[in-house]
Amino acid sequence: MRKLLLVVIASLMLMALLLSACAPATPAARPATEEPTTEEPAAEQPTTEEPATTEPAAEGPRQGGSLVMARDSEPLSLNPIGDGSADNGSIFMIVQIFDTLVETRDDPLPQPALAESWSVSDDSLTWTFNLRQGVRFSNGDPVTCEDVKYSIDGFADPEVNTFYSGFGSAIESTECVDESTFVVQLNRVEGAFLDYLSTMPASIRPMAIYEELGSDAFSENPVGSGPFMVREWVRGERLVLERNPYYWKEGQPYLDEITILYVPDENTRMLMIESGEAQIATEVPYSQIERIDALDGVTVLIEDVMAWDAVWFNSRIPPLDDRNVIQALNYATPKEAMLESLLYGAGEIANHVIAKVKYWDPSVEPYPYDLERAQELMAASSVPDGFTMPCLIVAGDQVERQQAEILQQEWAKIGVQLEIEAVDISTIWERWTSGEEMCFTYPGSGLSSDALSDDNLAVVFFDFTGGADSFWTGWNNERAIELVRQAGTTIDEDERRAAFYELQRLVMAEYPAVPLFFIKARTAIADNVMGFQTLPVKWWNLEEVWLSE
Amino acid sequence: MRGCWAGVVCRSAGLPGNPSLGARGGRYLSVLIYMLRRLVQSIPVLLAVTLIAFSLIHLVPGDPVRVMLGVRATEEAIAILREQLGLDQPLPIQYLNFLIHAARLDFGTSLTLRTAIGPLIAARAKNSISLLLYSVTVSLLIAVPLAVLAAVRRNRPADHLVRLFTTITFAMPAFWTALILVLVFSLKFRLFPTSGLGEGLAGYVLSLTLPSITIGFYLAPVLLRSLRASLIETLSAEFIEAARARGLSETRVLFKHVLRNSLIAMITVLGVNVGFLISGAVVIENVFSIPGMGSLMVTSIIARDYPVVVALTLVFGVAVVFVNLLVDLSYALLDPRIRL
Repeated sequence: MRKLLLVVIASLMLMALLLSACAPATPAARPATEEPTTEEPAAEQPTTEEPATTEPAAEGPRQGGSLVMARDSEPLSLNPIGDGSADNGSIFMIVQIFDTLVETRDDPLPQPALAESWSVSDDSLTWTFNLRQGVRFSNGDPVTCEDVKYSIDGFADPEVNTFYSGFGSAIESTECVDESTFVVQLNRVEGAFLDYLSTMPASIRPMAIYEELGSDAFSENPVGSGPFMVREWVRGERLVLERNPYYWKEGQPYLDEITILYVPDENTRMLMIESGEAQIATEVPYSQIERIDALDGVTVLIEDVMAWDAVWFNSRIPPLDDRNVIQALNYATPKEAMLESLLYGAGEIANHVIAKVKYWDPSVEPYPYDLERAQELMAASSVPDGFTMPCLIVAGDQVERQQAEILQQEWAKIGVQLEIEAVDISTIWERWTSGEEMCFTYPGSGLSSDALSDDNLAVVFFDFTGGADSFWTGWNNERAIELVRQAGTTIDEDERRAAFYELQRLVMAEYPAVPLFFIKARTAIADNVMGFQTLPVKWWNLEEVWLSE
Repeated sequence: MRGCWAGVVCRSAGLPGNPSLGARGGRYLSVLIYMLRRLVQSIPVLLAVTLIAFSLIHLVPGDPVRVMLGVRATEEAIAILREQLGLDQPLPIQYLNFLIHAARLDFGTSLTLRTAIGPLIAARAKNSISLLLYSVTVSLLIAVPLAVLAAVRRNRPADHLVRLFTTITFAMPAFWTALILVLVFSLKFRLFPTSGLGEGLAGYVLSLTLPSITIGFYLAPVLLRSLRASLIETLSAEFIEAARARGLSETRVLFKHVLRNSLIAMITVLGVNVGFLISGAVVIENVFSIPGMGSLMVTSIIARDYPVVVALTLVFGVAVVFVNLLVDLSYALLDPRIRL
């Protein structure tokens, strides 16, 4: 008994010692393999300033290797079309497995992919694509025009393309003139047509296999012509992608294999990159950006993407139909201070009510913080004594909660009592889309543009006749509807830009919302990961990633 | 044998009045019959549970179709998707469909994951059960010796130390404990992976160790208190004095007589907690990225994935019934005075 007691006390003391020893400040020394110098532990390297992109060894991309990515969301489905794949968890993986006719890169215009070149008729209704020859699916089957036609027909059919039917709605018919010429006939001029063809639902699927398996089974066994194919998929755990040996881009993908782990907890995700278990970790929490970036061998990339954060109001419910009130709320919001305290500076104050997409005008001024002006506007409005407004936010999100509390404090200064209602994601969409709520905001990482140009967002948010009641704000503005229509019915870049520029000024002045920030992608990557870039559409072309030594 | 149901079976099995089968054979059979009886009795319970879950999840606001479509929720898209997912049928029909298929162990397809629910739950169940078993083992390894120590050294320093330590670990929030353990044992000492499930048996067990210890920090104190109280009560019983007076060694008295007679209360507590942990280890599952049934339930509720929610409720119901059955059987095992 005595011995047992001694053992117990000893282990307790050991435990206490260990717990006190873990002062969180000192990160674990990284395994010394990465250091080009000797085996000196990387204790104090004060000025390792080199950002990951300017690599020391100018050797060019290296073939081979495998890497691990820790991701905040997982794919629900790997079928580019059909019932399950409209979430970013799925989309970002699907684009690694499949190709589209034209692809999105860090460029305002879509680039050639499965289509080498294309031309459009004078009336802008007939698009002719010259298909790249010699492309194969990952099982070796050639990509034929028949597969392309099958895929694009599905894209155009709202019964098949359930989530993105709007993107394919302009397609009237398609035809394979010969093996390498694919013609698409539109029923109206569509300014964003090429952009829509570069989105995930327009991926080229092998007709024979898709018909045989059906949509659910195809999701479990996807076959595409993209840079990677699925080696293993364990739901809730990981997706292992391996190189597609038939990929048409010379020399790519560089990596042999990528393991994408599903790590929903943000702290655990950061721990994985810290311990070296993962070389890429997505969605770095704002409060940890500095700490992770300071770690040896890790850099945090902060990149522009087409995502944003705003607070929306229902202009059908007074006093939110009063422009003075909306503007007062805008002037009473201290965005600079919020950018620092909420986002730790990793964001940009928004000068548009939607994201920074292709036709974004940087010269438009955002609302400055001007409490006096706000108070004047309220005094001149229909509710000089203020009013109470319940606002929906997503429950469980720290940043959303903090943001709402800041707004609550600040708007109280102009007499607007904000009542925060935190509900889960299903409830929030159901309630906001019912048109009976006054106010709504959604996490910045959850709203992004799926296509390179503004049309897909403009139609939803600004066009009252676009099917979503101007994102359920009820904003019915003739000029806005006209501008959206104008931009969408021409393929002339200058005309589109002019229309969207005017639209941006119009919505900043009159739309019932308080635009807050443009959200940036925050990704932690190990220093030996090269070629990694987050595209404006928020996903990555993983075929370009390689590991140095 | 009391409670002999289905008289025909009992008679032919040689129970009351027929010693030909022998006491042992009779006992096994009575256990079997008892289990069957309990399982049949549980069917109305399970039906009620699934009906309640089905009703609740449909009554709550929120539409899975709107969640899936998000920003693109035009009326047309909503209508098409609802029809494709079978959500446009009247609710009673949907429930009946579920029951009919469930009877054949066909739980349908998940609305959001587009995959068969049966295999989905099975994979998660494997992880949850492994985690559960490991956690219970760890908890018992901590609780039983410490409880014995605390009871024997009652009100002495050892007792106070044990109770203080376990109160502290019980009070620490699970996600905090988890992170501390990871920071120390994964990051600093590199003994365990930070998260996820390992490959191969050794890797799997290794990756479940820190999560099990985290759960153990909560469960062990609960078990310990109950066991300690029972031990103290038993230690002062007359038959223990008698055993000592007969000259039995202290160790033998302790482990063969005292412990065995004190386990019942702790096992009851254990049973209740196991029933809870089957679905309730969500925080642990989240922090350690372990795909278990708890996190599946949470994500399915949030997404309003009705078929998964109801199927999981049924699975949890069966698990709780089964655990209760095991607990009751263990009473009979531990205490011969208890008849089934």
